[in-house]
Amino acid sequence: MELLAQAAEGAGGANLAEVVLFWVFSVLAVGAAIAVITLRNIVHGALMLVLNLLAIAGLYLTLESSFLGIVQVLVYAGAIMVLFLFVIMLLGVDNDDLLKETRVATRFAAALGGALLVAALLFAFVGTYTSPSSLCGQGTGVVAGAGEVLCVGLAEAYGPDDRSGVAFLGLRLFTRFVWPFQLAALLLTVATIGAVILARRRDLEPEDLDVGVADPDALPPSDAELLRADADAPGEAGTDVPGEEPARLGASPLAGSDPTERGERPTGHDRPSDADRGEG
Amino acid sequence: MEIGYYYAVSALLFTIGFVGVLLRRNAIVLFMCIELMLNSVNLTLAAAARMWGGPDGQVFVFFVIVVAAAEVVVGLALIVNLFFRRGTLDVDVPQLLRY
Amino acid sequence: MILLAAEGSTVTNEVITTTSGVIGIAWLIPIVPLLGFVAVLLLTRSLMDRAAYVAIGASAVAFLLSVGVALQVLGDPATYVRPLPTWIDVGGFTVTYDLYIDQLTAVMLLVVTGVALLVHIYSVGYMEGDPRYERFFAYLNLFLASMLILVLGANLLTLFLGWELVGLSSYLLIGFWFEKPEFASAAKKAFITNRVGDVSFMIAMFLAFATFGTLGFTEMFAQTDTLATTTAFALILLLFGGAAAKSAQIPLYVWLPDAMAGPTPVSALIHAATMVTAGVYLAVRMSPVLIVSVPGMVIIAWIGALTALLAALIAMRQNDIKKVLAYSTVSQLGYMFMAIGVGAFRESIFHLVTHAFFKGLLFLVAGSVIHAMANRTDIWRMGGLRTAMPVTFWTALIGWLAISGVPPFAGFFSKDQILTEAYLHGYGPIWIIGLIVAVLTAFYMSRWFFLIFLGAPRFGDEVLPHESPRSMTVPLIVLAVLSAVGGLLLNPIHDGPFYRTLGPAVGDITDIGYEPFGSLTEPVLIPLAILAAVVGIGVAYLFYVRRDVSMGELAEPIRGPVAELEEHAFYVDAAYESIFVRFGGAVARAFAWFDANVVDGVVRGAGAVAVVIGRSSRGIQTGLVRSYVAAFLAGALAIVAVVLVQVR
Repeated sequence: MELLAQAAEGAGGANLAEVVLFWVFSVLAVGAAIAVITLRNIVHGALMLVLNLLAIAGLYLTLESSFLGIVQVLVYAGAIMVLFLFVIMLLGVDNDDLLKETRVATRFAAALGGALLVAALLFAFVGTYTSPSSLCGQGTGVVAGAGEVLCVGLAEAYGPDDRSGVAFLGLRLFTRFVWPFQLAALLLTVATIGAVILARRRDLEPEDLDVGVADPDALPPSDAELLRADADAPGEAGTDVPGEEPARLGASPLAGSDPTERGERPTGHDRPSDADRGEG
Repeated sequence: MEIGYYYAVSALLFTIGFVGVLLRRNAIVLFMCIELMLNSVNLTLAAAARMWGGPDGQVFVFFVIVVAAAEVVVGLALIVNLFFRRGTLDVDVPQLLRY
Repeated sequence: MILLAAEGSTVTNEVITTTSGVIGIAWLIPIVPLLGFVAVLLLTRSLMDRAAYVAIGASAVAFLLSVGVALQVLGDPATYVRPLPTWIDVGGFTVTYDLYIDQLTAVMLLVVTGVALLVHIYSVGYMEGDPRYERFFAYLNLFLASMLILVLGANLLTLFLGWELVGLSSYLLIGFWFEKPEFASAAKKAFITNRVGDVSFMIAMFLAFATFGTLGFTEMFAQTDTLATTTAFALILLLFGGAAAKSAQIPLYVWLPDAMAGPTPVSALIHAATMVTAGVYLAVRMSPVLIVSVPGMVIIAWIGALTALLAALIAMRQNDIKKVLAYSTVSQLGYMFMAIGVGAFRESIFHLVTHAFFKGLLFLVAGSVIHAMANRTDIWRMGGLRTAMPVTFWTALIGWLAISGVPPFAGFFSKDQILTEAYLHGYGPIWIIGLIVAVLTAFYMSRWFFLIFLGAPRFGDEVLPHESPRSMTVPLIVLAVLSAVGGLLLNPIHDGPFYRTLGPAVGDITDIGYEPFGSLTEPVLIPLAILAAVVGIGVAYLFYVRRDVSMGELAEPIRGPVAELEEHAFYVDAAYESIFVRFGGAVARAFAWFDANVVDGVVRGAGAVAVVIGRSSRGIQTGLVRSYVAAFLAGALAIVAVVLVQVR
């Protein structure tokens, strides 16, 4: 905690604290990340991701961004990952057997791609700014050379009364970035509604299908639906072709247009889906 | 610390996330890898904010987190939907875009 | 010399721009028949048979207005320009609807509206009972309006407007009975042949505009002094190319005999009296340009003379009552161009006028005979109609004598003066050809006349010839009177009132300096022309009246390969068929093949290439999310690589 406090002190604080914290959190973050992509148990993977996120929150602290660190813990580690775990539990899939089936070629390709990517990123972006002048907290006296960058630090921007920068961020969010802020709120609302609609299990609630149709019997089934009915239930179609439509509608007062929607569709995870039909 | 170290960590995390996307077929793991990549970028932004002395980078991170939250909500809903429809979380099973 | 005195008196016209008086309302002359056309076409249902009276009324108004204009112009040696609104105004190119009225215009107006009025009246009887009776009169009015636009236009483009419109109405009227495929194709032949000439005419207009910077007659004629001889030569030949198509000269005369498919009044009006003379009118109108290049005129003279000879030879062996007259028309038009070529512009117009009288008359006679003979046209199956159709016979007699060049009928004066002029201007060979053609003309027209009206009837019992109704005989009589006395009244001697009136309107040939061909003088030349007519008639009399022709065509006295050649019109049509139709068709087919296989092939090939590319590259679309991610990575790496290369 002492180290954390010192790190939060910012550019003027002990550099040793930042170095130590950086290495600790970095190793934690990278290790946890590797665990995320390698562990077969998804729950373990998710927990490792939580660890990774917490480590990053620690890195935010070393970067004089304590507000971000708190938000990271609250939102990511607290809310989002709980959602992940909740979904994993809901679907009851904690073991990822698919990982075993991954082909060697795929693994090789993934490794090669990863190596190339990290090399490219390091060469292209990291090297550019890695110079003594970008070293924060080393005090004055370092002058940026040609093509080098001088690290400024955030103390000046925050001001003397706002060491953590929360006031500064609040001011920014409600002045300059007020419109993005509002849009973010809107986005969250839309996302919530969308998630509700997407995750709804229609097959368990047939009455929901009637929404918007006052008298569903008045709507004749489309040709596609009739064809589908024939394909799905050949015996039925063969027996009462002449009176098919009234019989079918009469037998289903709840008036889903397709008998397979209710009666014949197997419930559970292995039933034929709409998407399968689309592919046919 | 020199800014480059943060960038290096960020690059490593990003690459790990990307490799995870390439390697794994489970939709939830895939999604977690995407979260990894998002976070690595956030780290970059925060580091750059300190270096330039402009805290607007932190505001950006804030918004990324908000968007990520929304994205996770929708994404998980999609995954749930996928699982209900296909009975599996294998992302190689739905191939509607196949020729 | 009477002749030289006449040419010396030529004065240049003063141009008067006016909007008052009868000139001011001259624009009504083409407009009234046009309105008649529109009215008859729109009111066909309600007008019924009264359509004829509307059309006749319109042409009568046009005729009366023309008389008024003629009285104004003929008494006053000036050129009138009636300004009208602008048609085209693009940059330096301005074309107006102005009317150009001089003595030549007045003569043409009188001929066109006069003959047209008579033909309108004649058609009432001739076309009676035709299912498209009203439409026929509408077309006649359209033709009249077009021809008047042609005659009145103050610039080449307005003239061309009328030129094209007469072509259209000619097409419509030749194909009037389009139910018969050969009639419809005759109409197409006329139309297409005329297009050939139109191209030439249009190029001539381009050249004229490039040379003069204007298409207006007054402006062009004012610049003829500075016109280069070579330019004038090209211009003349191009204009003559247009005129040759419209006026049926070698090599574009082939459409006119076929044009006889149209109703006979149409043949009389359009294909004898008026439209086919449009080329002559054009040439004479442009005579101030023509005289700049004498070689160009010589070419016109030779083509005219050869056309006259060729058509006369063919006419000797035609058996169709209208075909004989058609080739005769071609021959007489050849005379007119011959006259233009030798510098006898006024003689050419004079012949145009008299020809309109007697050839219009002869065609109307032919129509009357066809009418009486229940649409038979073979002259070998006629004969002896003198008693059955007295009016037709007597009027035909006058027409026959007029075209044969027997004094004092109209044709004698005009034809004789052309021949005299050719001799006095030094064109001996052309003069001799003209004399030969005069003999031939007298011969074939006598053959035509004798076989139809004299001798014993050869048409059997099923036909009962009868005199035509009044509406047909009255125009015959009027035209017969004009054919009889027209020449004598207009221009009995070489410096007659007609030439003096027309003098200012045509090109001045005094500067060319023509020398006579020989020492013969007019008093010797005139008897020679009369002798030619007498020889022709005499031989025909011996062959077709004194001999027994009751056997019909087998009795044809002239036999042999030459006669065969003449009967088949020298196989010109067949030659054109093989040269233009077959060869052109082959070229067209080659291009069609090229279009279908190469041009379309490129288009289809583009599609096929797209399909091949799509087939071969669609494997990329695996539908696997991670393959897309991998591609994404590859792209990102490529961008990084580019950045590395570019920045470092």
